[in-house]
Amino acid sequence: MRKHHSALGGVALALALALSGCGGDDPDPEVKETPTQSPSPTPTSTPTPKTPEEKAAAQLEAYLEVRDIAYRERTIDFKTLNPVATGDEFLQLQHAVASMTLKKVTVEGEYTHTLDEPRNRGKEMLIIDCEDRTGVTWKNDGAVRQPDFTDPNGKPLRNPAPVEYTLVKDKGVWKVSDSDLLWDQPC
Amino acid sequence: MLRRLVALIVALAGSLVIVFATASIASADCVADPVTGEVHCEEGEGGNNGGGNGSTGGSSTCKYNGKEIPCTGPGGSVWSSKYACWIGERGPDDMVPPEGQTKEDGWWHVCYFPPPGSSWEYMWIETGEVGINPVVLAERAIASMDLDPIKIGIVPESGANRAGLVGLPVWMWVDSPTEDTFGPITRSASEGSVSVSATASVSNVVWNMGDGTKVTCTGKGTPYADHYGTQPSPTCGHRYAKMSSDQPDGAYQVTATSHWVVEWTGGGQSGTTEFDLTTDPLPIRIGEAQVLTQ
Repeated sequence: MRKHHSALGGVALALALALSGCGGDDPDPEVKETPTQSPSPTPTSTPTPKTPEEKAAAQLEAYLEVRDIAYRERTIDFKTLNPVATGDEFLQLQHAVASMTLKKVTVEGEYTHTLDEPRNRGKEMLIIDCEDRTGVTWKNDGAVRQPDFTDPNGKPLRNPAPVEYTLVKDKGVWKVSDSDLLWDQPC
Repeated sequence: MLRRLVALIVALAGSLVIVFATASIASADCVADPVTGEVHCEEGEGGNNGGGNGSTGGSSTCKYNGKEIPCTGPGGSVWSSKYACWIGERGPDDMVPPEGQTKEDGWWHVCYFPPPGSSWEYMWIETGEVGINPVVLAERAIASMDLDPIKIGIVPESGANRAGLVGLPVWMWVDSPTEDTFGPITRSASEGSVSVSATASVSNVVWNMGDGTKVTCTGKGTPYADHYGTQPSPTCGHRYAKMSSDQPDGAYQVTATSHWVVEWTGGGQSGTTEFDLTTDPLPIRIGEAQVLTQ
């Protein structure tokens, strides 16, 4: 299991090809390698993904980093977004960032992303990210928003919460095309 | 003669009560709104419109670089061929117009780009370029067409004294087609200086025969006439393999779903809208020939 921390305001992202569980329960914030790998001194030594599942997971990891930076800086860097996102996700991120700017919504802190094992559906890849926002603060017009998110029943959204991402092949490259917050399910 | 072969085989008493269960496998995509913090779920496509008069759902597509894209973008933004983006919300009021322009000439707007994007900046949009959505005008033009499901033509006919036979041809056709049941039909809608013209036609009719079979016919079908005898329909037909006696009310419930395709153009855009209209179920009784001889 590997885990990624996205620091909003000093982003550090760690990816987990988690076979079970969620990162939110794990107090160790350090990057972990898979059990079959030797400990690596730096995150840059992460092995190059080879299988379609590994490639898709790496793309999702990259997308989440781009997304979290976009939230923090409230701008879109298309040079980094274009290679990792497409379709509805590509548009919705733009909409989210534009809305945050217009409505004076800011976000600070650090997300933790823990990716479940990718499910290969041939033309698409499904990956669940257990997103932990313990260290994240959302503010509306400078005031901390509490609760930060509410589910469709009006109750505070659970934390961590699973988000299922769909990745599709775009010119031979896996890109994130959709996301679905599984608000009524635990990680 | 098919019509004359029809005989009352089984006495059917009482009024027909058609219970039509609509299976709907709805999926929901949920997202957290970063501004309000609320989680919203959007029902996905699933199920159909069962019996009744059909629905006029559908989607509009615009064209960009030869590809079809939705005409409506994030947050209800409107596709603009001129700017090659979906024009969204106005920028803040404290922004300053570009040199040589005034607030009367236009304003800064968010532009949502289809992938790949190029520039994340507010776009100066001239007055008149936003506010009139050609898609809305297209929908208005379609609504003015007052389209209806087809009128079912079928032999064996429906009725208490009518029934067909297992294994014999069933003929299906669009009875008395009109421009509002089969097309083509053209209507326009205008607002201000923008005018949209839409032409609608039925591309195919899917016949749900009630026995688990769906027959897709691309044309109107061929109306049955007595001189055809027991020939199969050359264009749109079916054969029942079993009697309908074990069906609810002893009859197969036949529906016809016409698939409408609307091509529209105007306001610097063109697009396609597609939707289905379904008839009410029509009971068709099917028996076996030997019963006739008794």
